[in-house]
Amino acid sequence: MVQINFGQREVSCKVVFYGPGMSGKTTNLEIIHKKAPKDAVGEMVSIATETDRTLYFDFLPLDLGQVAGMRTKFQLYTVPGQIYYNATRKLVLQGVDGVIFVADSSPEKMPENLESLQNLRDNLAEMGLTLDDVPVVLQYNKRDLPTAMSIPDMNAQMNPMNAPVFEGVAREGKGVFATLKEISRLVIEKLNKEHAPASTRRRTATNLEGKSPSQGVPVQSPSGANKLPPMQAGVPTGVAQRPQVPQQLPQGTSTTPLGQQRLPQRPAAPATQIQGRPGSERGVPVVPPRSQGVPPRPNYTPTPAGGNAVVPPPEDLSPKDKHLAKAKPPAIDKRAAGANPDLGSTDPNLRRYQENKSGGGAVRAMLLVLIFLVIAIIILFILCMFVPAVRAQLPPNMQRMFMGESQAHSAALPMASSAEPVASAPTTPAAPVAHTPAPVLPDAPAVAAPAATAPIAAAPTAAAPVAATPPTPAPAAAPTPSPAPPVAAAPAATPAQEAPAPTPAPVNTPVAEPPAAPPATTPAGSP
Amino acid sequence: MVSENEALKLRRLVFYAADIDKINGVLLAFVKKANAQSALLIDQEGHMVARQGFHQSHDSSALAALVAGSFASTREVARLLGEKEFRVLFHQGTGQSIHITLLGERTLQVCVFSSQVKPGMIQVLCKELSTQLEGVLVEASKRAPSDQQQTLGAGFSEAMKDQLDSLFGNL
Repeated sequence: MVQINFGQREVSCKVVFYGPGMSGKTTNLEIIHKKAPKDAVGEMVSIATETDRTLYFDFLPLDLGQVAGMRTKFQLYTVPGQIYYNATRKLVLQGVDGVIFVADSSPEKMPENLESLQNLRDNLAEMGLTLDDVPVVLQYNKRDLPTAMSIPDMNAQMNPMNAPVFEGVAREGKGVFATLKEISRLVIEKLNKEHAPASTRRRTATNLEGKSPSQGVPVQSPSGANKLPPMQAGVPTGVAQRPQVPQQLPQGTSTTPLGQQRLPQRPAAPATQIQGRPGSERGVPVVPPRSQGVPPRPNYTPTPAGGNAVVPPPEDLSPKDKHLAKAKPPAIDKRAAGANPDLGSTDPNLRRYQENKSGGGAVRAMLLVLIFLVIAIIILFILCMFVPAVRAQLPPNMQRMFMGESQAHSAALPMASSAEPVASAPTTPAAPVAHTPAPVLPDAPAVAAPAATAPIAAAPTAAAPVAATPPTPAPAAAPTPSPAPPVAAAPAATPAQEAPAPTPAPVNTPVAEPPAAPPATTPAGSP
Repeated sequence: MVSENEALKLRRLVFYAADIDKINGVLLAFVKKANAQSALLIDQEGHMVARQGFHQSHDSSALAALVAGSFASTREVARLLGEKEFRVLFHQGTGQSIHITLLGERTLQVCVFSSQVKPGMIQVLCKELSTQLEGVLVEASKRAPSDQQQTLGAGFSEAMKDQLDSLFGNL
């Protein structure tokens, strides 16, 4: 059953080679596979027995390229000819659009031919069809046999339905393509008749090219197409009841529907050709039909060896067409065997997605971040160890953590002397003395001098108890820094408790000294 | 009574762009969600309707034809067992597996998975997909034929003749 897919802009038809066993159906398919332009045929699939008899079916996809804006495909199947494979034969026959009946020309095979033909009728009848519903072409194969039956004889027995008949020698490829062309034509004609009512016709690529036959341009088929005998002069004209396409077009005289000169045969597919129709040969860039998703592939273009090599877009195309040409993957059979044949999905984004998926992009990214973090931490650690400026930013306990014992000691000292006087306090022997300097200090310079000279005066009385009440006398002694005070101080010193001795002493920055000095002097001076 | 041509036309499979877009959308979402390699919609005769995703080494038209053949033969097996048909087929390989579900009467949904996806998960996901696709197909079939404006170009037949001549003219 013809599938018309307007979404993908594809028409897909199923043609079945039918006939008795050993009549040459698979050979027909093999010849098509071998001889047809490589860009038109796909891979042949054969489900065969060990002895090369078709078990289920042979399958050959045939891509005719863009036809009026639709990519047209034929799926060619053969059925197993042996009688006992009828079950699978029926399966293959499901949804058939056209039948090529391959008959064996030798007289002893005629009963088998007839049996197979009847079997075809029966199987079609099971699907509610008759031989008149489905386009049928007969191929009388093995015409090279010396005992081959004559065409009229065969027709009389096999062709009551007046189907087009072709002679063939499938082994040598004779008649194979003529048969294929005829059945293709019949199938498409039938399809077109049913599916293109003129009233609902819409703009298609054909119309865009200005090629619509409805514009009054007479469709001129090559002369005598309807009357030419299919293959040889020996075929009686009565055989060719249906219009047939001549196998070889008269060179130079054939015309396109527009009446323009057309190349007698298909040009050897230049790599830059986007569409195989004559339109592109005339230098008219053919606008590929739009479709949602991805535009349908044009005729295959041969690419140099290597996977998905991109064909350079032709020079004479519009930028849009160039882009489209670049975006299209080459045909599967044009790619190197090793390369991943990618058959072109309908969504290029998905392809990107699937290609990147393996290996896990997210995992890789996380690993990278992790590595980066570890490196950053290591660098920070090293900086803290060797660069004091950086280290100073850290809290003190962490600083200590970063430094060894000796380093910690030497580094701590200068900081302690400047910022924390208390730190050294414990080293002074007399705690009270430490307090005294504070009030005295402001006058230190003034006091210092007399103190230096006066110690003796003060000293005698200072004695041990000095420590007891130093604060009060100190101010008294201090305001008397004049040259006289030493004298005054001396008598005043008699109360013994008022000894200013300590006061001058703390004036000197080395705190440790004064307490030691007065006691030393007093015993010496007092006696 | 409808003529033979009408009858044939009724049986013909026609897919329109809007439906194909919907189907493609569903298939694409499925492929991404299920981590499948590809998802195809084919009809029973082996024609491919839509596909999303990629395969490494096979021809998808051949795949479609063979899957349809495989399905047809298991249908005969089913009949031998008194069953109308097997609606689900699952072929499991070491590296790849394929899951086939019959949608309605004549359309097959085909999903290809790598072995990383567990078979049970495949069953669940494919079931989900089949429900969605059936919805799309039913909706498409309900639409009145008059809505479906797209037809083949009138010159299709002539263009085809040209193309056949240019392809096989010298063979």
